[in-house]
Amino acid sequence: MAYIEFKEVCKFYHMGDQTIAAADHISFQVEKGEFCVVVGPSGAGKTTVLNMLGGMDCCDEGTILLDGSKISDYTGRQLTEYRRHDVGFVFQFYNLVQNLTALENVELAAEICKAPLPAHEVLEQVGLQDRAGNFPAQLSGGEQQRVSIARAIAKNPKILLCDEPTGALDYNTGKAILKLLQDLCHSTGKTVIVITHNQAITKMADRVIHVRNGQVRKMELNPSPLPVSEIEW
Amino acid sequence: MKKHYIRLMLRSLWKTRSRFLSILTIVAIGVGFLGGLLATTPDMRLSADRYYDENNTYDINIRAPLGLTEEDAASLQDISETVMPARVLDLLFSIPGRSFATRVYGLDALDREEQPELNQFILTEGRLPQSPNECVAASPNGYLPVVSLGETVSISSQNADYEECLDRFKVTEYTVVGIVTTPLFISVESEPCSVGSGTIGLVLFVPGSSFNMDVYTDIFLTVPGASSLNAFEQEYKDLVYDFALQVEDIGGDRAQIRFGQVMEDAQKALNAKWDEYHDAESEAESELSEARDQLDQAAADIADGKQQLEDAQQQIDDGWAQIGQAQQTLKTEQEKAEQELLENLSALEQEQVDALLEEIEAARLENQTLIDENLAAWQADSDALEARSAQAVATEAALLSDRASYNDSLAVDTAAYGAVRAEYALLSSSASLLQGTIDTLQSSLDSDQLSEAAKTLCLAQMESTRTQLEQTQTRLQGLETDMEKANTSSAALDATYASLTEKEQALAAEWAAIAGEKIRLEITRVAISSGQQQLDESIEENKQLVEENRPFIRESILEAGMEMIREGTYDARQLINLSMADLQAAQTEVDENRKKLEKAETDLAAGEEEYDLAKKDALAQLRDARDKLQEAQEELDAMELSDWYIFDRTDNYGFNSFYGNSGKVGAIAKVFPVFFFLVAALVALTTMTRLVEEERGQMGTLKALGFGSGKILFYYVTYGAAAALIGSVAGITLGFYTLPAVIANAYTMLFTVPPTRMFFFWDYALIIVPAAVLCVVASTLFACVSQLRERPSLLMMPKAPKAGKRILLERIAFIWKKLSFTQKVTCRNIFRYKKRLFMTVVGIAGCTALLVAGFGIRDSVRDIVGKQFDEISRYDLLLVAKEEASYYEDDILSGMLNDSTKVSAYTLVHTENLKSSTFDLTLYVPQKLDSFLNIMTLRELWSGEPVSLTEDTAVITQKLSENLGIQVGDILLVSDDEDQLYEVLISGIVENYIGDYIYMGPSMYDRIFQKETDHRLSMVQLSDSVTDQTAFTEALLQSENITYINRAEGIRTSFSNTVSKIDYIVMVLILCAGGLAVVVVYNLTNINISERKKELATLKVLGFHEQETAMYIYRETAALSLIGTLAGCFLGAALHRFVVACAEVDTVMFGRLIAWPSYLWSVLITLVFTVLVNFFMLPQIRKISMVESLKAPE
Repeated sequence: MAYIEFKEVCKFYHMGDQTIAAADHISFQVEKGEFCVVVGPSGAGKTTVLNMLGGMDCCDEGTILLDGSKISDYTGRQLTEYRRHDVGFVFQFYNLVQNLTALENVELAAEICKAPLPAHEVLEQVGLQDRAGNFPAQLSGGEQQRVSIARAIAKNPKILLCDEPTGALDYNTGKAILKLLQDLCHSTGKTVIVITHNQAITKMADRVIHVRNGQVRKMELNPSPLPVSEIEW
Repeated sequence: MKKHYIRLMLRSLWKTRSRFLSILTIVAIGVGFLGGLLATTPDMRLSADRYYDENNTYDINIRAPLGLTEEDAASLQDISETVMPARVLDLLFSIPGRSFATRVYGLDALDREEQPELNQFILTEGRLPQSPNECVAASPNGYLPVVSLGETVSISSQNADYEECLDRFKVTEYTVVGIVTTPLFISVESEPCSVGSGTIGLVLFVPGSSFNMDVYTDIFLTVPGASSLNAFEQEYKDLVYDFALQVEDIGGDRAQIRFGQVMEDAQKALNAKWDEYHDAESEAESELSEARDQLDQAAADIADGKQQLEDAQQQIDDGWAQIGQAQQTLKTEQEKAEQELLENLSALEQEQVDALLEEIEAARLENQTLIDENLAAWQADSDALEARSAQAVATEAALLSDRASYNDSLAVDTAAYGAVRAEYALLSSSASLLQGTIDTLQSSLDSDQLSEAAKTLCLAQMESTRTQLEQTQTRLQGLETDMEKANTSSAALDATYASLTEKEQALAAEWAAIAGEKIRLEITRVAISSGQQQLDESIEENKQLVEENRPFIRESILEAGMEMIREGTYDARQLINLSMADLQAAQTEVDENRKKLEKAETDLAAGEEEYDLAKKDALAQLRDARDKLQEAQEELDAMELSDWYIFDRTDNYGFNSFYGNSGKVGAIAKVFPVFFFLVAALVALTTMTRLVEEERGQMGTLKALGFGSGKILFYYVTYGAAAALIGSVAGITLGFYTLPAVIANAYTMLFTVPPTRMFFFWDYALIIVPAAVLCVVASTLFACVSQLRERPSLLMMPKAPKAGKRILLERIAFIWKKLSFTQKVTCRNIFRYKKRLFMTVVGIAGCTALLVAGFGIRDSVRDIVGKQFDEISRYDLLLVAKEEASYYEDDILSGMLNDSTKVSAYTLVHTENLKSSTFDLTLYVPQKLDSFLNIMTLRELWSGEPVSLTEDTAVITQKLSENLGIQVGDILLVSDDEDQLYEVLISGIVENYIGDYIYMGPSMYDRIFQKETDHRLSMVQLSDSVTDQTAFTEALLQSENITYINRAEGIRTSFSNTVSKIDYIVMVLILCAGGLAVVVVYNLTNINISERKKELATLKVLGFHEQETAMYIYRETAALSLIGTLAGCFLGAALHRFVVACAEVDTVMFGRLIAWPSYLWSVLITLVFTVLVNFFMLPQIRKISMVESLKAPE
């Protein structure tokens, strides 16, 4: 059985009389330690997938499994616990707490979970050991995103969910972040799922899931993912 | 374009409606609170003034010690609107079981069954009096009705001058026919008076005709134009003051006239009394002289009696002398007789003996004759007997021969008779045998058993036998004849025998008689001879006896003589004894009379003494009476013209109390506006700042589209102004129409006035509303201006998030390191937004401060009485006697005060009213320091350290020291009622709540004042056994020497009412404080949540639990609230001090300390409000979608 498995997952939004299926029988699997990219245009249902996988939202139909646990059946409280311990989230806009330093932002996450990684080490891992004492406002976008990533992995989660991690970053910084994520994936063996509209990124992924109109169009395995440095967009 | 702009604005408004409401609410609370507080005093006063006006309450009240006449009233008619003379007296009235110090109004209008022209009362029950013995009653403390309809009240016999009281009334018993409330008595605290328990407990209105007084005591009048003015305002006071001056002028003249009248009347009365006195004097004199006469008469009588007694005694003594003499005579005579007797005794004796011997001889002769006669008789008898004996011997010999012949005949006869008898007996028996044989043969024949032979034989035999038998029987018959012959001869024999025997017997008797005669003769012979002998012997014997008895004879002669002598003196002696008895009886009588006389003498002496006493007494009384009359005369001569006393409403206890109490609210109102305006401004500022920040993009867009800054600004200004305007209009309306009712009714529960009417005060509204709007608008402008200065392009860019900053606390590593993460964030956040910090801290502090002040005021008011009477002056009664001597001389007073079962302690104090600058103060000079300090605790206010008062020091009370600015060691300048100035060195300041005092040691008083002390005042501490203080007080008031009495209990009760009213105000404060806390906390939380929506969403995504997320916000609120409450405690203490300073009246010091529970409650209530708001904000945090976290920053 796959590490992550979506089986016929549906999600409906009601807008007045209309019912829009944001996720329309989505099914896919991701194996443990894979660097998976979910790609699709705006409004294709990527975020819905992300929300459901990240435990921020629940599905209306179907089954979501992670490491054998049935996420789709979780209650609100269980979902919170799930987010707390099993998911590391990297936001497009970093979402750092402005009033905490880089290190503190990492510690903030580490504080609430069972087996956190030492915040300093994690910061070192993302190359920010020197900026540990700086407030987010004093860091560049890339640096902030690194803090964000550090915050996510400090929790030592089962999966790392990244929502357009490069979306607010310039090309080079974006690449650097992607590299960081890929390296983390390979070095720590964590399952990393990146959600993006950027087709270029698919080349570095172990597994690519194409989403469109709330459906999985295609799921392909990439036997030889490219290193980030070789990707261009 | 414009339409769209307005639509945009309206939409924006709708979106931010909660913020709009925040501003609106805080402004409403502030303005409402302010408006309400400001309006309370005028509302109360206007209402009370209307009440006064509606009931035609007097403006000026004239009282005159000499009374007021109709003419006096008429003299005022010209200048005044309405003039109403009345008779007003304070005295004790009672209903069964209770008595009350009562003020009685005798109103002429009530005679006409009309309401009085002035001071009309409101009939709450019953009707107006219709006859002079009916009345209507008002109880001054309205909610405790003292009497009820139909009850009868009468003048109490407990009145000190009961007779005088009765004289003043025609009717002394009244039936209560109506219960009224009167504007004259609006205060629950009873008006002091000089009778009974010292405060008016009952007010009665009776028809004027019930009084028996020809003059009035009071005139009530109104001042033209005064009713249109508010009696509590200066204008009215000025008008009345000016008018009072006119009245005074009139009063001067009128008083003069009245004085003349009174003087004249008094002189007349006095003269009458002089006459009375003289009458009494002469009467006393005549009575005394009469008594004298009586006494003298009695003395003369006694002397008389004495003389008589003496005479009687003399007579008795004479009698005794006579008796003695008689006795003497008697004795002499007796002795003489005895002497004679003794002299004649021997002769008498011989005479007697001779007589006796003669007698004996006579007796002997007589007896000898007798004996000789007897002897001759005997000799005759003896010769006769000799003859008789010879006769008898011859008779005897004849008899013996007769006897022998008889005996022979008898023997023959007897033998023949015997033989016949024997043959008869043999033949009788053979006859019966023959008969037997015949019978046997016959029976054998009859039986037929015999043969014929036999029978024949038998018959034969039988025949033979029968023949035999017949022979026998014939023989027998012969025999019988023989026998008969024999018998006849025998009988002849027998007769012979009998005659023989008879002859023999007679002979024997003859012989016996002869023998007897012989014996008798012998005896006689012996007797005669012995008689002779005896006679001789007895004669001899008698003669000898006479001789032997000679001494006895002598003695008997003596005795008889003596007896004769005694008998001769007996009568005389008897007579003497009778006389003696008479004399003794006379003596007894005399003795008795003497005793009587002695008693009469004692009585006379007593009478004398009595007379002297009575005389002395009468003279003393007369002298007293004369002295009194002279005194009265002197008094009358010394009587000075007394002016009218003119009072206005400010002299009415209720009016004054109401004025003071209503003023206090206004004073408190001064502090709150500043505060509420500050909070409102801060709320507006933070809210608008956030609003402007949120709409930054929109603002930029608008600006870029070409809207001018002014137009954009206009929106926000309008926003703020609208909120402020709506809020303040709503607030002030609400404030004007609700708060005064709450506060005023709390106060007016102490007064019997109609419920306070509430008015809309435009003047206040027109200042407050614009001020509030302006305040908010200014805050809004301040918030907007900085944003609008920016270029539109920058405005359209999301504002760079406010950079995190290290705070001061982080430098203090040892604290910072100990904080958890979330705590660190909280700390940083708190200091990130200083406006919010301010708003929250100020708001919360304000909330706590309001509560602290509210509870504190309650503590303070409670302390006034609690501390004053429980801790400081621990007396139960304060009483003033006429003079110090009353305490020693008045039996009731000294008896009750020295009864240790009832009075545990008391101390006497000299008291004097002094002035220092404008302040009145009371001087207390204790008679004995230790007993004074036993009842009064002198201690320092803040530290509670004892303050010493010695013989030569003086201390003043706290409030006084504050008013005068006097410190320990300063010199206080005081003046007495004669305006003499004194300098007093103050050595201590003591805690005291009611009244301003200076306590001075006795020697210091002597040294500085150099005046006599009169310790008339006493503080009395009752022992626990006295459960009924009223009864004790009433008992004390039996003494005429008490001029004033006040009970700590009474003050305590009236104050506890006040404290309970304060609770209402505390409630209002809690509500306002709550509103404040709610708005501020809501605003803070609301802004924080909306600003940190994304942060919160992110935290949720990171897996923060709900409460962790909420706490991320709330920790900040909590910290600020805690800081706020802490600050609020200090602020509250200051506020409390301020309010207390405002609310205090001159002579009363409120407690200055707030009890710690008040702080505790204040903090608790604040925190409860905070927690409640946060609790209700929870859904808003819960509502934040995690999807927010994915959105781009604004």
